[in-house]
Amino acid sequence: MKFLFSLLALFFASQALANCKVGQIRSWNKETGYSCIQRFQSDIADCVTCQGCNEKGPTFESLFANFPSAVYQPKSLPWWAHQGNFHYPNLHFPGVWKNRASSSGIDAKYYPGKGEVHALKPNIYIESIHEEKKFTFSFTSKEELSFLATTPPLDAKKSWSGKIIHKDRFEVEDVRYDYLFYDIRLPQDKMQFSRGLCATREATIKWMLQDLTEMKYPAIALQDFEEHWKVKIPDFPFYCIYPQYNKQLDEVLPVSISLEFSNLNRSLYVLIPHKKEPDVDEPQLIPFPILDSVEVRPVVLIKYENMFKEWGVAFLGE
Amino acid sequence: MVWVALDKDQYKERLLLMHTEVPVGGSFQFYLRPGDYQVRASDEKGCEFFQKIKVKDLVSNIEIKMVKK
Repeated sequence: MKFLFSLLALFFASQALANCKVGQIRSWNKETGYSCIQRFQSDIADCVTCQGCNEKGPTFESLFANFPSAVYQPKSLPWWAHQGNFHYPNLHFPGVWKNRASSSGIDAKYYPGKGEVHALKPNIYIESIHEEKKFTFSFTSKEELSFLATTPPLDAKKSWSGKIIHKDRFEVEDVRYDYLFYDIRLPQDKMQFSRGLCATREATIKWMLQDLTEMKYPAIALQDFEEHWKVKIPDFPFYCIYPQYNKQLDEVLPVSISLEFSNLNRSLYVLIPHKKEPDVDEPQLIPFPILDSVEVRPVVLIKYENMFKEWGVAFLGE
Repeated sequence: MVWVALDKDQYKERLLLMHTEVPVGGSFQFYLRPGDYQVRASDEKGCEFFQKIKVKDLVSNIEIKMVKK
């Protein structure tokens, strides 16, 4: 009986950690993990926010702490970031960006198509048991889709056709690709905005990487994700993350893979930036997340012959 | 890496719309609203391709093939 009570207590404790009550925010940091709070308080300052508080006096970096992000230089940058900084002022943003009083995000007037959610760089990776295997990956939606970019180009049927080679690469028209890539606009009303968490910018990146790691994304996918998004997520001190997995994405952007024994694991993290610590007492256009997203994360218990894995990050745009 | 930006001389106005890595021989397809744009392709060693493009149609689908010479 005692064991049963302990088990029940453990169950309710774990539920309390997983989901929060109305009027709370679900938050995460790498030291304490998940918690439900009324007002966000980060115990560890981001490298971005602590630049101006050096007790020894202003440093070269702190003098420029309030400048736009294009001036702010993370310590290690990939080669393309140096070139990008040289030519473009908004390299440290995911696209053309607009800061608004209510919510900041992509400036949609620069992009064609429809949809408030700008899904950027969904990348599709492959892990296969085959050295060589033909495949076709098709976007099958009957609705008109608002693609912004793809690599390689899609054919008239909105498909990529080629071969999986060396178990972990694609070959399309005799060119090898580490991943298939697209940018697209998607409707906001097809996304979920109740599950997720809020965190500092640094912890947001760490949490997304941990989420992908737990879903067993291949090392190259994790490496690309970190390299790209460390540069491209704007310097807001806080973010709320609303993960969209297969349940949402298969409905709004259905795909089919013409290859037996295949599986596609999808995750798109919609990020809402916050200029200050999220506070439940302040009205929000997008409600703070209070429910656990891990509960609805796709669980792949069977190892398929061909495991396609897709990651992406999205921002809202008007 | 292929970069697509607004065609502006001033650095602060030359907003980057999109960029992605494309292997040599590979192709990149993108969709733009009417306007003037710069397309730049560059590699780690600093080799560069630069082209200005004018888009007239409501939405244009442009394809660029990366070739090494």
